[in-house]
Amino acid sequence: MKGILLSRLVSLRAPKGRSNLFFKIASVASLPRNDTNLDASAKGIKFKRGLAIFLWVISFVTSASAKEVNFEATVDRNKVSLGSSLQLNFTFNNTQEMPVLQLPQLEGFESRYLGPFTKISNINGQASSSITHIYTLIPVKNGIFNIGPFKLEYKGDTYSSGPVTIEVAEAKAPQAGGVETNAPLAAQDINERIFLVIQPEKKQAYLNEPVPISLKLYVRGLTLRDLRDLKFEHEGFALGEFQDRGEYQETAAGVNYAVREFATVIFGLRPGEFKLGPANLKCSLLAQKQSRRRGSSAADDFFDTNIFDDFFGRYDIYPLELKSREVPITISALPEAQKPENFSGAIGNFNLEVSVGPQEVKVGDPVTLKISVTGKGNFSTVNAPKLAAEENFKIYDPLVKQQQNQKYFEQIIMPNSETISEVPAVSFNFFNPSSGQYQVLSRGPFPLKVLPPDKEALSRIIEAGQSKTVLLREERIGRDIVYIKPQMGSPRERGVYFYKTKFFLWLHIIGLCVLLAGYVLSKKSKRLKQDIRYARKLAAPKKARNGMRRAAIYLRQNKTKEFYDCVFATLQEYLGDKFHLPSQGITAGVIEDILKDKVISEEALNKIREIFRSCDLARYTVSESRKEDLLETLKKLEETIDYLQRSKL
Amino acid sequence: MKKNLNIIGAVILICLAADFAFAQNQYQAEFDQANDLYRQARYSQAAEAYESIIKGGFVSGQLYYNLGNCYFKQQELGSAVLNYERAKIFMPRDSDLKANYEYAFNQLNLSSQQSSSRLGRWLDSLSAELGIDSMAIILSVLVLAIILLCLWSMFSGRASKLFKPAVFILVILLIITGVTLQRKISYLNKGAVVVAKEAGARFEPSESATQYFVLSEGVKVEVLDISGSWLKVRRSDKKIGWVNKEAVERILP
Repeated sequence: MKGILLSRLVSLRAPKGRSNLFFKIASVASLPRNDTNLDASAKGIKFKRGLAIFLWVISFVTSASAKEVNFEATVDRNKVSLGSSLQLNFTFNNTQEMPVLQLPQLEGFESRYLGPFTKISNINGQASSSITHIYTLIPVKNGIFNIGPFKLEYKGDTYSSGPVTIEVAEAKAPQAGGVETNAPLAAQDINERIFLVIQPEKKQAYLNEPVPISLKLYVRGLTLRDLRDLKFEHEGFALGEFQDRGEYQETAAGVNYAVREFATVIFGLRPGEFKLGPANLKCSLLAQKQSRRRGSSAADDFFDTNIFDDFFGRYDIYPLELKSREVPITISALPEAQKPENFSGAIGNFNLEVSVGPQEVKVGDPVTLKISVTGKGNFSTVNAPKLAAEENFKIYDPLVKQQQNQKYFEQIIMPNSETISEVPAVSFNFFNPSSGQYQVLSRGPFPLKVLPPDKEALSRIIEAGQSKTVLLREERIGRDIVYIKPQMGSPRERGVYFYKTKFFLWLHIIGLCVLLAGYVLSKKSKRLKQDIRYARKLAAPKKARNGMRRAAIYLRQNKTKEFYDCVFATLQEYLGDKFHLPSQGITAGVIEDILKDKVISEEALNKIREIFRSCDLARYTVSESRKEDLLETLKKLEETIDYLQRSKL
Repeated sequence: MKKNLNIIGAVILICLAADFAFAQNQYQAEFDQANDLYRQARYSQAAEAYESIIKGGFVSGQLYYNLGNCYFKQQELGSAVLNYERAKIFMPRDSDLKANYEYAFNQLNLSSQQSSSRLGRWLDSLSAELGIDSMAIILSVLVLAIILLCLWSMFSGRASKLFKPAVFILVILLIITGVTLQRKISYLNKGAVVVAKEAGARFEPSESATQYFVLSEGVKVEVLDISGSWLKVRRSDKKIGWVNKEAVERILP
């Protein structure tokens, strides 16, 4: 961005508040901008950059002044209505110094000098400078007027411009067509100020002949930005990539335009009459919100380059879709007369260079042919040139490299016999569209010395079971397909492959499920080993179930003491495991202390108390217990354990 | 009861094996007859005989190979290349097949179409040496090996230093095999060979459409779409066009 801005550096001497544009652009080009407390290094950098820009400007001024000065007279529009004014510019290119030309009395106009306008620019590395003297012309009557040519003598040299034609008419309504816009430019004939043109280099071409074409966008007195979506109808043609040729000035019918050019190459795909285009291009038009500054020249309106001139707030953006006219183009088939027999379709104007190396080889050694086809044309139609006599060589497929204006073939050939004394001539034919004739280029033959092969090159066959070596002369090997197979092999059902079978699918699904299950189990097993609290809690219900089963057996066997011992131990162990406590010390009191902070029903707590009490009574006194009491105790134990399991304490 | 079930299972297995052996013998007899026709240089009749075996529903690499030879002898090189391609599915490392395939390509003045990327070429060379079933089996073995290794590591409780590198290598091999298998399946499903002497690829599926490029006999293409009697195909140089269905034949019919 910085480079673009600097290359478009413009200095204005005269009118209307533009004298500080240089500083505006320099500031946008990211020069350091500190306010008052610039430190020394920042100042130094700023000074160096300022100096560099100053030297750059000086070098452009001197280089531009070395060129020949030419003089152009242009107007900002050729058609004008009575009551409005137009602008006449006298531009002296390649100089910055030229006095004001005193205008003679012009028929049909009154004139007034506005001031000078100087410009230094660098477009695509080309430096240029100019000075333009700007006049206002006010028409005083209707008609078509030729003004000029104008002459100026300065320092012994005479400068002449061409004439300019101006049509003065009554005010007219704007014309439609070509441009679709919402911009408030109805008073201007917008089609004369902005238009898109297709310019093929030629309108008659041969099949596959490359035809360069330019798409030019002409703009006068308007500011465009955001050029996009360049489309181009090209039925019957192959189209290359578009290249942006950049911006420049062009005078058409005495009017100066800013031109943006896009270039590409097309190839006719079939003979016939075709139409190129229309080309379409979308862009945005910048229009001033208030009254537009008069006196701006076409040179000011370089697309979006002036948008830094207090852009925000002063412009509106309007979408535009530009459409060019169609251009007829005729594609002719290649002539059949005098067409070479082995013509491979190459079209263009080419040159052929061939080199051969090495020039002394043994039979069967490789020789490299380096073939270069250069010139202008359609290189996709260029195939490897043929050797005049191929039977004495084994020829391999060439290695092909293609550049912009060159196609390069590197071909390996191998001499079959020592009787060969030369590499035959290489010939290449093509159709030259400029002359309309077929041309044949031939290079060679090239001398080649072929020596007999080394003895080591002869085949060695070691017979099985014998140590002696038999040398055989190299033989010519015939070639054909290998014979059919006698056995059908293992026939299989058509279309059945292992990867399509259900077995393949399920094998992987089950495998992945096993892996997943294994992962979950291993995690659980690891936790059981590492987390004792978790392990005890998990084992508690199972142990309790076993204890209750044993107690039920004691109950059936009427073993009262063993029954209560078992119930006591089961409850103690369950509570110990459940709350991660030493089981031996658990009593009703201990459990009450633990459970007082937890949400537990009083009924369950009472049951625990009663079980412990019943057990203590039965175990430590001689009282006789009834079977119903035992059953009741066992039931309470079951209910208590069931409650504690469900309550997730 | 259990004994009876075992007997019934054994009988079913024997019947299936006998049926398969009978079918194999039947096809081998037909195959021999076709070979006899080939030996008598009656190539078109031999081709018909081989085709009738294929229509019967059973195929083999040798069958496609012999059929390819029949077409080669009749100078139908596109069909020969097609059948050699099909034979490669079943016997990718067969040297006779490789020789005939290359010779047919030479006769057509075609060079083998290779992937543009180095990785693609490497994967293609890998898949060229392995049949599609072999690759699927290798893939399954690798999956099972990874699963077993992981299960062993989980339950043995021993953290071997070799576990992670071994799993890493197996996973890399699994990825390579998976990608290669996927490319092979895609190639076989989409691949087709030009069997006509010349086929014009057009911009649209219509005889009146502009011809874009010409496909020569034996060239392999990728089928992208179908529209009526037209196939949208892509050549190895990425050019895409519509060709008539009759001009090309899919590798997997």
